[in-house]
Amino acid sequence: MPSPVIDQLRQRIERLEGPCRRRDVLAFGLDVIDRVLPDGGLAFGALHEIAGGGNGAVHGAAAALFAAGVAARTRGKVLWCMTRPDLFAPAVAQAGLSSSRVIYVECGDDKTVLACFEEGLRHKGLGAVVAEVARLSMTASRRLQLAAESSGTIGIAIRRWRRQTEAADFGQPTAAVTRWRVTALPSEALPVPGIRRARWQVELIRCRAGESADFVVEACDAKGRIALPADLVDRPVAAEVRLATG
Amino acid sequence: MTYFELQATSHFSFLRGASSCEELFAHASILGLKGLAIVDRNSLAGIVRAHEAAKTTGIRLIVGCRLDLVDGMSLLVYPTDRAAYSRLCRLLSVGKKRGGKAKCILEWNDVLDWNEGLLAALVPDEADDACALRLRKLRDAFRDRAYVALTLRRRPNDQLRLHDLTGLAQRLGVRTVVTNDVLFHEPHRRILQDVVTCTRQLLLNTQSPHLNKPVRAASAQCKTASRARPAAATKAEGG
Amino acid sequence: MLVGHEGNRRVVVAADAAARAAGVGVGTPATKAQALVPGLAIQNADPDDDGRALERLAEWALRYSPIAAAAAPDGIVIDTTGADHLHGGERLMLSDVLSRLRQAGFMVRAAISDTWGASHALARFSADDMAIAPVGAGPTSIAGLPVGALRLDAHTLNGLRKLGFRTVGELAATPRAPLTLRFGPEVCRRLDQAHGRIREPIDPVRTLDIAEVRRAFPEPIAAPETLHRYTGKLVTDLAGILEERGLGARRLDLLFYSVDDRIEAVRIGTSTPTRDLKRLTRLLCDKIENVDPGFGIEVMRLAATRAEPLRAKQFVSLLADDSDADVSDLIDVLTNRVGAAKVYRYAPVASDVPERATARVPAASADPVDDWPSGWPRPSRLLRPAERIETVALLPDHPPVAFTWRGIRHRVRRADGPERVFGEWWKGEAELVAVRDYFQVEDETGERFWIYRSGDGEHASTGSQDWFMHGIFA
Repeated sequence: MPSPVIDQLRQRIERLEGPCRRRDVLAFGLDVIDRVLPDGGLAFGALHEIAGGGNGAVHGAAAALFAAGVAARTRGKVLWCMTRPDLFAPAVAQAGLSSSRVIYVECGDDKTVLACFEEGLRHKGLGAVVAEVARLSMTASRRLQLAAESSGTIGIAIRRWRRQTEAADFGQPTAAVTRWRVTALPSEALPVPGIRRARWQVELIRCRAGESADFVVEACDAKGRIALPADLVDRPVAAEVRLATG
Repeated sequence: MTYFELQATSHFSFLRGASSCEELFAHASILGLKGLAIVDRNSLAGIVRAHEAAKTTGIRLIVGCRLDLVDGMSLLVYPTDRAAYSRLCRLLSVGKKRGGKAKCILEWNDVLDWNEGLLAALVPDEADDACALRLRKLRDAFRDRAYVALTLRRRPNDQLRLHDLTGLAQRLGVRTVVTNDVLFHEPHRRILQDVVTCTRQLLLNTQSPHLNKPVRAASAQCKTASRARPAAATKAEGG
Repeated sequence: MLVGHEGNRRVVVAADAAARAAGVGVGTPATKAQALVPGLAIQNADPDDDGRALERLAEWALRYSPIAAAAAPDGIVIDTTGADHLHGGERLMLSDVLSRLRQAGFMVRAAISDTWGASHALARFSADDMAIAPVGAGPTSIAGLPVGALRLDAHTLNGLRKLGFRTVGELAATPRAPLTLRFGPEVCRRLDQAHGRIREPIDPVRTLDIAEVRRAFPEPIAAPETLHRYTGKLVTDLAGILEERGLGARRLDLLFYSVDDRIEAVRIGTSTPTRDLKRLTRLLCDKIENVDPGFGIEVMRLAATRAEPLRAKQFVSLLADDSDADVSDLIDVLTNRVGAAKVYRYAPVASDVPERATARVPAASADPVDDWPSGWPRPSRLLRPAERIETVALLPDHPPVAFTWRGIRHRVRRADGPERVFGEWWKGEAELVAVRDYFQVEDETGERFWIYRSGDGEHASTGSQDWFMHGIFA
């Protein structure tokens, strides 16, 4: 039971320091995920990383939709930087990120992508900035993190490599506040031919001031929200053993 | 396998059907169908020509009509005898009198008044609560003369939709029939069908400032809506 | 055919291909020309008028680079350093120049190389009418060209030919002292210029009455911070002029004249007319990194080579809704970094054919009226072009049981479709009956693909009946 003395001390400290800076977050709306993240959601003003698992490390299809779903739920325009212009805009719109909101920047190399990424993160008027890069050094990520902090914008780095073998690069540490990996999973079996919502394994690989965890979710709906599969709701979600990817 | 196509729309359904009764029956003959029902929208105008075409080709004509009610419900009705046919004519005149020039306004109560001797098949969308409600109404009014029409629309997860509709029908004790919702008699007529659909869409949009949109653009959008209809009658898949 | 004066005689000064075919060339006496071609239409050459026309052409060429000038009597020269990447590269830019001039009715040849001299030579004497010399290969590329390709007067050229010199390469291989002794310094100077050993600055054409400011430095400056500072001052001065005229800048050219006879240029553009000092200075300073001050800058010149009327400033409320935040300054920064063609949004196109369903529009465009139709699932990655796949065990109207793509076999566990996409019959014959049946398939690992069969599976006229991979969902 909280002691009145401690409360008084806390209030005095706050008065001295200024109000405790509780960061703004973007919650997923799923308790199992939000409670694992500091402050209950993806931090604004921070850099987050997503990579695809398995073949997704090269094509980044699910990672792109995961990012689009997050960006969809922010307000304002979204900047999307990349070297390979193979993103199909109608799919992005189907994840809730309308075509009128996204500005694409097609760069010749990763270096330019990072420069534009930073430029966008420093601008105070965007909802989110997404960039597809292969290499992301600790130094570069620190710059991006600082840029994000200065504006309060969400920065998402989609890690995407040319070859499967390069994906081991994802093991290198960066300054990103959270690191995720999204891998396709078989979807719900149906009694007749058809395909329902896609299923993903979403791994929170690293979380600053938090723990890692795994989740099985259903892909973004038309508003960019992921969901828990109905038939798995009763099963414990934070798996001990990671499913083999690829 | 003997197949009767129970839902074919002729060009007497203005801006919906793209083929004449003659063309429809001729092609049905080529495909080896044993029977063909012409169900024009709120109209029996095509029946006379259909009779003649049936005689020429030796294919049985099933007289029918698609009733589009003001509340959005649609049903295919087939009279079982002459008396029922007269009742159907009376039903349609009630609607035309109410609607005035070239329009036919029909309500569920009208159907209740004139339904004796008619077989009715609901034209459903998704297997949702609204559909269940309508199906129940139909069953209560028509009893063993009530059906639900299953059509493969070729939209996403259509098999699942049909599966759910079949389940719903079973729970309510209503029998199912398979139709193909035929709009034109052979593949090449699709282009005319696109044009009439486009025209219909443009007419619907007369209030909007986009009237000057090029025909192609509007046509492409209409295609998206009408694309789901397959060309001519094909063998049934189940139900 | 143009006739002018050479000394006391009237001679042909310009003849096109048809004239030359008839035996009339430059230098042919006018009377002889008339004898050769009966009914010949003669126009008097007007060198002054030509000169003015050339100046106007040079002004037109400013659209490609801040440094362009007339190169009398028959050409223009453009310094394309740093400018070509904004036009898609040297080749694309050069073809653009040629096609636009040809559309205007000119007969034109063009070349790009490291030096003015080499480009001049290649443009006039190379076998192609569009010549691009690789970086550093200037000397070799002109070695085979005739000596007339160097800009020397007729007297010198005659002398060289009498001595047996045919090509530039032969001249370059000769010891310099005797050449200088015999012909003066000009021959070696032209060789040095063509080879890049000495600099030849291009004096940019000045368009009258554009807003322009300049600053001269008695002590040449070179430090980046100094350049930045003075850039800011020039922007302030220029903004003043623009304000007097009620204009906002759309394009600024900043030229640096260095003591060692070099001119470097920086060009920036904005999506809307602006006089915002911070924004313009920022855009210019971003690019100054690439400027080499050499031994020091002695003059800086800032010109608004494109300006448009600026409406009264709209004061943005501090409480403005986030979604309306102005990103035009960000778009400008990005555009100036990667080029306007690489910063864009996608707008829906009313087409069923997937590769035609999107169109790139400028980033600052107004929002489109609708989005794409929402019912049909679309893959997040689209392959351009679609790739052929091998398929196994098909029933009509069903997706394959398995397929092989890029050497990997996938077993299909779940699928939906077909979604039939018809050709756009109003576009032309070829698409009248074309059909694609798309299937969304999921393999044993859960990966989802978008594949299609070209054709309806029955009629050969509707397609090849081959299968293709068009996109990846997850």
